Amino acid sequence: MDIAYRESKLEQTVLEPLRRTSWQFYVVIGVLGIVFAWGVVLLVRQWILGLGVTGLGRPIYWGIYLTNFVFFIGISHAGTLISAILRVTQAEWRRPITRIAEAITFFALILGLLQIWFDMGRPERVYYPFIWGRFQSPFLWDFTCIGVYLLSSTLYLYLPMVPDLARMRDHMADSPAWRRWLYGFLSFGWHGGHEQHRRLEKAIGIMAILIIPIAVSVHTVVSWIFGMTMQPMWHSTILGPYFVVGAIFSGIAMLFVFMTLIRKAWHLEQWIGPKQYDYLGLLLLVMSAFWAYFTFAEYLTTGYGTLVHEAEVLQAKISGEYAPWFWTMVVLNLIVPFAILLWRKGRTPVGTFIASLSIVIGMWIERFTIVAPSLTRPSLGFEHAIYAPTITEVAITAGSVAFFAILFLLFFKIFPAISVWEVEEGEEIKAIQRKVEELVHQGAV
Amino acid sequence: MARWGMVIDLDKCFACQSCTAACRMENNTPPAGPDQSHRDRTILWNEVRPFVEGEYPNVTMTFLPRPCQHCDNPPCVHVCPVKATYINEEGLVLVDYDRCIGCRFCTVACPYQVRYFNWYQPEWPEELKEHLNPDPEVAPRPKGVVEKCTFCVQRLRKAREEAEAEGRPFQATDFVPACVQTCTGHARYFGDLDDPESLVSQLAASPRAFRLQEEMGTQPKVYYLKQG
Amino acid sequence: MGHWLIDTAGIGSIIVFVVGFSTLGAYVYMLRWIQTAAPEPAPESAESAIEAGGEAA
Repeated sequence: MDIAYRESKLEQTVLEPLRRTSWQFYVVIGVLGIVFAWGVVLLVRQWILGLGVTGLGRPIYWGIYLTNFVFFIGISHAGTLISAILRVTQAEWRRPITRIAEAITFFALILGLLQIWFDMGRPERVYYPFIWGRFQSPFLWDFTCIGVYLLSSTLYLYLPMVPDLARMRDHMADSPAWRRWLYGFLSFGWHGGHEQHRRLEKAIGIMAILIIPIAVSVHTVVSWIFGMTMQPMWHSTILGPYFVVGAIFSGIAMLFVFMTLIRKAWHLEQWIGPKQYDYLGLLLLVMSAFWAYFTFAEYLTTGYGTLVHEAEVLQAKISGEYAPWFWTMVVLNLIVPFAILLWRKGRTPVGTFIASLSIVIGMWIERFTIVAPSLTRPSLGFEHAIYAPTITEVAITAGSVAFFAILFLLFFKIFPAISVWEVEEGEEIKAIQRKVEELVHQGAV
Repeated sequence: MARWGMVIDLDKCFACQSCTAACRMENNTPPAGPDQSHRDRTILWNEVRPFVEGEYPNVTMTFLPRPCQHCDNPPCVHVCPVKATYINEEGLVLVDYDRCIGCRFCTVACPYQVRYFNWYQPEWPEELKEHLNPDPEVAPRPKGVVEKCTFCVQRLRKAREEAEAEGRPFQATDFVPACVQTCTGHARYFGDLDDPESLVSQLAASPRAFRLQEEMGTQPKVYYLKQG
Repeated sequence: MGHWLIDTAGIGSIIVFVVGFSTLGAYVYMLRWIQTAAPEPAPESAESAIEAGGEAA
């Protein structure tokens, strides 16, 4: 411990998980590890035997893995919205949660891309699109946009970490050598001078603005994988904006889930407080309304029209075998959030956690009801097909979620969960504002 | 260069399924077995499908032999990320099994469901193994790739080679796919749609002629002659 | 020409790499720009900066 350096309460709390690991942490990682291993075993079995181990068949060639892909890429919009949009609009209450949001974005993108690999019939040929890529295919648009987004969100996670990394490099003498080396390497000689800080903030500001259209492009091209085909209820012009709205919606919800868990586990209650839950809760409510509006517009338009094939798919979702999924989704995405979050009393950590978990599950179901039903009623269909997912698909999904959680938790064992310098900056700004108000009140200014 | 097309006369077809069987024997598609068939994994490049129209009691049923439609504007080709499926200069939509990554985007883009996927490594019972077509172009495909009707492109290649070996010009009538050759009711016709004298061109212009889902804009090259 | 650009295998890969590497290059440049800022002591606290500014004025 550097004797001359006094750690603030914030630093002490935030750095505690980096210094000590509780037995509960090992239990959590252990349980997640078992689920992850289960997923890996069944994935390897799928690689050996073939995709026949799934519930897919003709004409339902896409199912759970594509659902997971869209779901995870959607979750990755957490960072974009919270960190970028709130930064651009100078919403001060974002400061303690930006790092969690940016980390969710990063790992969600990786898990999303992995789902496509899991879905491939010849996984060893995964590099083929990077040699023989054909740009007319929406998959290539995906690689372009998701590639840029991956680079951008990595930078956007990394940049605001640098001042904190430098601080840990300088003052965390009690951490093991490899950690000190890592912090030193990653902080690239950061000295915190006035000009350097100015450049960093400028770069962060540029990234915040750039990453918004990049993120919008990502989920738009993901939707166009479905939208560019002629399948009933896939070929919809609203799909692009609909997916973006859904992504932001599910992203905030996932952020809430992880934010609340980390806050509880690592005692961050003092910095992630009622204000964050109140405002984010309202944001979630707004996104729920947005999502409901898009859904209603889509279904009303489809239902009012008389196109035969679309009507069959719509019927499958509203009153057919997909009705339980569809209506559960409506309850989870609209009814539960409004019931809890409309009232200030509901926008507490517990209330928002329940609402967010409900939305996360509801949005996964939403992606599922987009992918599967259209394929069960092909336009030249001679009968309705049935998709019954197998244990392989369940295990790989569960393993993916476990992997996401493991990566996230391990990341915050090495790097602080709250951006210390940004929260301190926020407190300085508040102090200055208070001082200025005081002076105005005294008539001195 | 020819533009290969097919005409199927629904008045003459009585759904004997010989075309389906002939296609399997010619192209080495694997039998799925009862369990896999139940899970919709059968691979039949040509299928005879019941096509029901109307509502009870005013129902009409047709049997529609359905090979790949070999569209001139193929949505499957548009979405392939690696050009594993492509349309050649003669209008045949083909699959390069060595290039296919098994993403199944093409299977999902096809509005006719003519594309099939190898869910497992294909297997044949002992009795059928001796009857596999030895032509290397139809060698059994590996698991994880997409396959479909090729209008028996291996027969086209063989016919061209034979014509060259015998020193005579290749004519469009020199080759027919296995389904056309086998058809018991002589309901299937095949030929060059770009040749106005050919039988398929004339039949395709018949007032009885229609194509499946023309409103999709896929420009299929399989024409059907209406029943009755 | 347009159809050749979107239809030819490999052109799509080139597009992905060109876009990807340009982005990477821009970001590396951004990091270097921050790294090479001249060092100079930052103000100790906001209060002293205000005082320093007040003195300068």
